[in-house]
Amino acid sequence: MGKSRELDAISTRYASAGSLQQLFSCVRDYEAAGSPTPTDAPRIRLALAGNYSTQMLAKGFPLALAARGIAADLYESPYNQWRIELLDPASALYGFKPTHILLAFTSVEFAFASLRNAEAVAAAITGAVEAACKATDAHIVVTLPEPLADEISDSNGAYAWRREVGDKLRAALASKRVSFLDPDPLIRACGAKAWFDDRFYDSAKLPFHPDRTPAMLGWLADAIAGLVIQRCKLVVVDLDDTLWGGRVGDDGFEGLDLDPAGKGRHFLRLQAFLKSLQEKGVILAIASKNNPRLVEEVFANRPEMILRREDFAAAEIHWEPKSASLARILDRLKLSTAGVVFLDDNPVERAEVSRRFPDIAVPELADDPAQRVPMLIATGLFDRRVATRESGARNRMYAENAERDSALQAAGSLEEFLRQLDMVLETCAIDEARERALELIQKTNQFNLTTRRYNWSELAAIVREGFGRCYRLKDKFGDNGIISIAAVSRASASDASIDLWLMSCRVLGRKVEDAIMADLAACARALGARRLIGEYIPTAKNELVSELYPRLGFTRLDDRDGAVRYILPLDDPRASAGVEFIRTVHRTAHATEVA
Amino acid sequence: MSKTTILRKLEPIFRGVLDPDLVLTDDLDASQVPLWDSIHHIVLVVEIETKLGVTLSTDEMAQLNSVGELVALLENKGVS
Repeated sequence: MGKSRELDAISTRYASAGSLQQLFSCVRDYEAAGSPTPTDAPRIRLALAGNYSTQMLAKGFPLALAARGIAADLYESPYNQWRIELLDPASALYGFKPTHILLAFTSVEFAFASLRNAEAVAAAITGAVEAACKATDAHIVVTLPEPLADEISDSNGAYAWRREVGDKLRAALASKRVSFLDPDPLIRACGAKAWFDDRFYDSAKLPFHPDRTPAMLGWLADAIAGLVIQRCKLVVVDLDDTLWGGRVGDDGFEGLDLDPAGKGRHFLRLQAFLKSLQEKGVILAIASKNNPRLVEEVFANRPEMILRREDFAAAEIHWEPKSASLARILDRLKLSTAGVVFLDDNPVERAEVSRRFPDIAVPELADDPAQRVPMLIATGLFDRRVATRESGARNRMYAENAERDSALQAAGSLEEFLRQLDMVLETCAIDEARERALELIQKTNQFNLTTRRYNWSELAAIVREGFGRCYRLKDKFGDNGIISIAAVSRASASDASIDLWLMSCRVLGRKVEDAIMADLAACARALGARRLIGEYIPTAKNELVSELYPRLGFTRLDDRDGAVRYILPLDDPRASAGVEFIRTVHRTAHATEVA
Repeated sequence: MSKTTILRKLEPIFRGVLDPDLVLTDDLDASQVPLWDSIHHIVLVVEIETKLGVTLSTDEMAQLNSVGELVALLENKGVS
């Protein structure tokens, strides 16, 4: 605990570091304290390479990421070796086994080095990044060339050059695990005068003033943190005077201001902002004190609305307190308060929600709608995060979930309801859904027996002698996507051990875990194992599964290195009981067979 | 006289960047201070520029190999 308080104190000082000296002073204290990281922090392995001197950034990165709740091991590529390191499969960079690769580029070097034209620069970066995508599972972050100090007008072609490089890169690498960062807003925020100082490029190969290092570092660390930690997962939004101008109860749907040429533009702008979040996988919900019929009329009769009714996974439209609406939305969507943002123009409603849910982010919405979107962006609550295909479809799945729960209220007994769901559990080998498996490993905290944040090669090593499984759940309301993964190692000739098992909380309470256990037991038997071992490592967030193994018929074996181990003989009938109303189907890339 | 004044102004800067116990003398150079590497050299330059209100040219930054040279340069630039 002492360690984390120490980290908090250093983080606070670090956050206000405005010069290189202040940054280094914080780094010294951080290292002297033993480079502490937050408890239960996700761990990443960050490789840093680029075409300018990254030494100062490298010194600051472990602290910058620890301050953002991430434990990082760092590798720094030698000066300007990015191409060689990425093209050579045997390079030290790949030997480091990074989970994230950050490529920090400056226009200065490109503009005067042999890679002069946009095509050549884009081709060089594309080739290197494609090689990296083949050689590793790492996520790659590329900073786009920054504006040059002498880019006063486009007369010298610098602006067009830069745009061309960015466009070509985005087009060539669109489908890969690659994110691009445009430094333009950062440099504008610092001011070009404070940013550029060519003397330091000559003396230290630094393309910005050394005292801008803390700003650059913070900007890069935010981007990396955005990939690792999900900041915002649900936005609950008010309607009257928030999503549209006016009050539907007073003005009627026809009287609402959604005029793109007038003040209504700012409400549409907020809708467009929320739509873009939703496309990145953030869930949207409505909490409005209103007449539900009038609200439906707005969605039905105002085509200017950018957000449609079906964009919202849940809606609480009535006259009860907003905090009660929030509670119900969280309950229906099976979400905790982490990463939830509540938007309401009324400060009284905001305060009422804050009082009941201090963890929910409740940013101020200015009275002047014109100021709202810029203020929301400035909060940093919505900073970039990467969406996988699964996340894109998430809103629909949450909406289907909400429908399921309505069905539950109607169906009477729980078992009756579960039977009516017609659940099908599709299983496949873990390497058929790599991306989603790694995403779940990073994000799942509650139903996670061991909370081991493996990268792909670590996972592959575990399942080499054992097996790894992914589980997709479908039911009559739709496809829930891949909701669980497990990795089982071969502990000895007679024992198989569940090294990793996690499940999305969306499907909790449906006996899916019981069906998965039957499948794991069957796989372990097929390997020739006679006993199945389960481990539970307690964390601050996984209390939910502390009694899972006993409930599934395991008996306690021993406590080892902070883990409680449980054991189940595979000839025990409970190991193959399964769940009557969940059909398990094994799916390979080519065919589906009933197990 | 002004050399001593400059030394007295430089000492807290060097202590902040390199070593809180450092005693600044004319003949001190980078080889005698473990932390005085190329990166910390840049920190020194930036701190001297902001704290003493001077601007060094690229060549001047590169040539500063000892405290004595730095003091002479600052004296030339009118720091006192």
